[in-house]
This record gives sequence, structure tokens and C-alpha cells, in this order.
Amino acid sequence: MLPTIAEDRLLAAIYWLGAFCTLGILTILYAENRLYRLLEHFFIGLAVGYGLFIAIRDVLEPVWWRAMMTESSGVIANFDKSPNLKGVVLDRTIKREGDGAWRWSPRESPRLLLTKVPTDWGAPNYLRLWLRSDKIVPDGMLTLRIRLRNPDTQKEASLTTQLPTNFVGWREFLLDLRRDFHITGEPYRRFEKVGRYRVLSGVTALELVANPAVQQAGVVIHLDDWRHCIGYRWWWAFAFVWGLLFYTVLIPRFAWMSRMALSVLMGLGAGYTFKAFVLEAGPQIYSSIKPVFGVPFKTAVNNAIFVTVLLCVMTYFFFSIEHRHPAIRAPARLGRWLLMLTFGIVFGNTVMGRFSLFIGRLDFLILQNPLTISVAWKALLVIAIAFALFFLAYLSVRWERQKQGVT
Amino acid sequence: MDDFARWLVRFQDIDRRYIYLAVAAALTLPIVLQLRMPQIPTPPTQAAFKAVENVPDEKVVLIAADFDTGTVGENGPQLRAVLEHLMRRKKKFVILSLIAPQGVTIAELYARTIGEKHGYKYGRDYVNLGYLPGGAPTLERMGRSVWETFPTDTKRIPLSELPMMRQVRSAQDISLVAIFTGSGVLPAYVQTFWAQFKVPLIEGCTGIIVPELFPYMEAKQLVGILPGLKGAAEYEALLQQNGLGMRGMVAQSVAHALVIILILLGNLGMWLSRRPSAQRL
Repeated sequence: MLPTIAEDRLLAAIYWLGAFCTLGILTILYAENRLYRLLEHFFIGLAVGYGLFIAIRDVLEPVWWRAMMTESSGVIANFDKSPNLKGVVLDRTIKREGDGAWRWSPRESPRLLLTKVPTDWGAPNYLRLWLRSDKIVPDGMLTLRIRLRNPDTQKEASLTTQLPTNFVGWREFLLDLRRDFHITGEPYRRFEKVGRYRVLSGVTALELVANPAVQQAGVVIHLDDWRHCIGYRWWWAFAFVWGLLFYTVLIPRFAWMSRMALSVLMGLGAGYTFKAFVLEAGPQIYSSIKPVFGVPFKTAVNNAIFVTVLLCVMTYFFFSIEHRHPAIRAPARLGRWLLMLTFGIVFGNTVMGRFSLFIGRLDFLILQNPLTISVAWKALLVIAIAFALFFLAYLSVRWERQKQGVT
Repeated sequence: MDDFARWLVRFQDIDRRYIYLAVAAALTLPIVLQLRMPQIPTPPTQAAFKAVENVPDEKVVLIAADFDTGTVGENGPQLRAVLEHLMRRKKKFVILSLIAPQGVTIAELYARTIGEKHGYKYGRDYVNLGYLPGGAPTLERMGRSVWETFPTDTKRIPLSELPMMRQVRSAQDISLVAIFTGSGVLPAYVQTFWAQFKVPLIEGCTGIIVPELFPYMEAKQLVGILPGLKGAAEYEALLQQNGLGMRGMVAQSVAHALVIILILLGNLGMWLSRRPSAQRL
């Protein structure tokens, strides 16, 4: 059995490992050395491993594998608790799942209203209901109605279907919400729709009504395990096959197949780019056309500078006319200077960004240090460790040079 | 004078490691001495602050943590400042990432540590939807149905079982998207959340991509920007908080002053070495 480690000790150990790795990586500032290379590989391996783990855990497993391999259902009712309804009792002997099932006698109470059901059903594809009948009623029919109040329209709506009672024992009903139900009003949410899945929310009750034939037959109906389901998305298996086509590039004989997958991806990308260009660049082009007259003085000056810079830089990149005429050459030259100014700003920001990263590390090394000593002592401790690691780097470089015969 | 000129000429050949050491010292000393300097918030940061301030209570904020440990020095303080603001105002938020698996982990860690102070509870006040690649098509799908796009959160809890997510169904339930990134992920959000779902965007970015963002701000596709560590410091100033942004900006300023002095000395040395009289030096 592994020894128990206190959480604060573990956190301190993680901190010091992080501090060691940070300072070790920084030894690159002295020279390329073995300690740096070791830690660099360590970091890259860690990042790749973590990325792979997250890709499997957060993407492939829940979004693809589980959706393909499981029913993705949500419980409407499990009928495990005693109902407070006339003609219905909890039966712990005859059940499908859980602690029990509801034993309903339609003769006593022909209408059963379930109000304590989840209101949000997500985007179900079908309902899965378990019903049990103790005898066949040839003309019997149960009417199932889903009552809801659409949050978008704030109006009542319902989905209704008929369930025959021509069976004995348990029977599983798989009811397609689009095909098997009669719709009254607008039950689906207006805004949410993904492919063929449409969202049902604001469900207020489920109603089960027995027709006269069922009532007169004196049949006993058991109810258990009702669910709304999205279903198995088996067609997602094709995504795997399609993904595999990318790897055929490794087998020369089948390498041509990879082009099929690639071409579809490129086609999708190109198609999306058209849309993206209109949505993204359109407003930016529109906002570039600025008034210079008829606006306050300050705005006019700002707009004039903006338009001048825009035109000069565009002239620099306009190669259809040779840049010989002074009317083209002068603005193009100014455009080049303005571009250089912009690149200078970008470079300045890059330097600031690098400093920020170092400041972030300093914050980690000095201010987040778990030791209960003053900041100055923490800084001295970090400097001492850094000195030791840089000395190691120096020894590593000297050893390598000696090995290579370089003085 | 000749000695100084000679020193300036030689200064051009100084070992770069001395410069590294000087810059490291310039950055470290203000941090150790915990020096402060006032920050004057610029309009892009003020606009971002105002956008967070105006988030209605019934809607949530989408935190796009599209950064990893490589840019945490800049994006980290920005995100912490915005989370502090959201929690002070008791706003709910949802975390996700399109490009950086580490981003959501870092963001949740921040949310947990800052949330302890404000009594925030996972599932009730914030949710981590995790990392889902796919760019704009993923966001478009999410904008139409959050539940369909993210069946569960990172803890494998179905969204229908998280109290906060019962109200978060589509882009209609999101009032602001706050993006934190060091990459060019913004177009995906502009094409979907801004253009199609009319949700305003703010971005906390690394210093290097700040110039790229101003056309977006000019076109009102971005409501506000937190530019680099300075953006974080300005946001902290608006919050009247002393965070890493405020602490770091003194170090930034000292290091910038040092770099400017070094550039001036180097250029002066180069100018002197090119003079005809340089042979004497």
C-alpha cells in the first residue's frame, strides 16, 4: 500500500518541481545544454500527452464514442416511489428496473396524470416506455399525451399518441416523436435546432387515458422506466472510416485515398471561408469608409489620418501600375514607412509579451512560493537555486566541448 | 570623453548574456520590492469593463479560455481580473475552449480559487464545458443548442443535471463572450456569436496581437480589448484591486526603460564606430 501524503506537502512538492523545471528551462539563456534539453523534452512530452488525454476524454469519448454506442437517454419517471394517485399503487414484486413499478387499475381511475416529470427534455428523438398488461384487450387503447408550455411562445402545446393493449406481460414501446405522435400547437423551441433534433422544454405533465374497452376489461397495467432518448447515432461510425483515410498516405498503394478525405475537408473549408469573409471582413470594409467633412474637428482629423494611412498602404501593395509616377511613388513610399512603423509596434508588443511571460514566472517563483518567509528571502532562495542550475548548465556545456575537442 | 566613446563602441560587442542578466534583474527587483505605480485605464479596457458591468442577471457570460501555459503570463492576469469582476457582481459564467485543452483547466482553477472568496459553487454559479475543437462550426452549433453540442461538462455530469445549465440552452441565454487568447481564434467568434447570434464580444489578448484587433474594434465586432499585461493592470485599476497586472507593470516599465537605454547606447556606439575618427578609438 502506498504511504499517505498530506495534501499541503504534495502541493509543495508539485510547486518545487515546477520551480526546478522553470529555472532549468531558463538555463537556455546561458547556452544550449543537457539540462535544458532534458526538461524541454519533458515539457513537450507532458503537453502532448495531456493534449491527447483531453482529446480522448473531452472530445472523442463523450461527443463521438458515447453518442454512437449508447442510447443517451434521460429519465422521465422510474416509478420507484409510492404515488398519491387514485387507482395506482406501488408494486415491489412486479417490476422492470429499480425498486418497483406502478400498478394502475384503469377501471378505478381511467385517467392518469403525471405532473412530477422533468421539464427539460433536451432534444429527444424517441420515447422508451415499459408497460405491462395482465391480459389482452383487443379493442383496448391507451392515449398518451405529453403536455407542455412552450417557453418561446408561452402557449400550451401537446404531443399525442395511441398505445394498443393487445399484449400480455412487459412490453417496450419505442415511440418516434416525429412519426408516432400527433402534434397540437407548437411544442418545439423556436431557436434551438440541430439537424433533425429539436428541443422540447417546458413539459408540464404526461397524461395516460384508457379507452372504454380497457376500463370495462378490468385489466391491470404496470408502468416502469420511462425515458426520453436521443438514440444510437450509429452513422457516426463513418467518421472513423473517413478519418482513417487520412492515414492511407502512409501506404503508397492506397495513398490516393487520402486525397478524397483531404478534398472534402478543403471543400468544406473553402465553402465556409466565403461565408466567413462576408461576415467578418464586410463590416470592417464598411467601417473603413469614414467621413472627413461634416463631422467634429477632432473626428475629422482622426478620420483623415486613418484614410491617408489606408490609401498609402494600399498603394504600396498595388502592383498593376509601376511605381514610377510621383503620384504613385510618393504614397507608396509613405505606405512602406507606415508599415514599418506598424511592424515596430508589433515588435514592441512582442517584447512586452515576453517580459509578461517572465513576470508570470517570477510571480510563480517568488510570490506563490509556499514557504513562510519574507519575499526577499524567497527571492534569494530562487536566485541560489538558479545559480546552482546555471552552474550545472555550465558544467554540461564544458563537458560537451571537451568531448568534442573544442576549447 | 574618448574613454566613454571607446566604451560605447565596445558596448556593441557585449555578450548578450549580460543583457539577459540586466533585464532579469530589472524585472525581478520591482517584484521583490513590490513597487506600485498608478494605471490610467485606456478606452478599450474601459469598454471591456463596461461590457462586463452591463451583463444582465438572467444571462450568463461565456469565458473562452483559448490559451495555454505558453501565454498564461498575459492571459492569466486578464482572466483573473474579469472573473473577480464577474464574481463581485454575482454573474454566472460558462468556461470552454476551442483550441487549448490546458485553457479550460487553468480557467477552472482560477474560478475555484477566486470563487472560494465569493462563495461561488460549481454547477450553480459556473460550469466548465471543456475543450471542443472545430472552430466556427462548433460555435455555430453551440449557439443553436448548448446541450446538443456539449452533452456533459468536464466532470461527465449531463448538462440537464447542472442547475445553472437548465437556463442556458442557446446563444440567446449568453449575454457576453469574453475571449482570452494568444492566437487568432477571434474570427470564429465574430462569424458566429457576433454576426449570427448578436452577442457582444470582448477579448483579452497577448501584446503581440493587439494591433490586429483594432480593425475589429473599429467595426464594433469587438466591444472591448484587454491588451496584454497592461490590459490586466488597467482592469485591476478599475476594480481597485492589486493583482499580478498591477504588480507586473512596474517591472515592465523598468525593463522597458532599460531596453530603451540599451538601444540608445547601442545606436550611439554604432554611430561613433562609423565616424571617420573611429579608427582612433
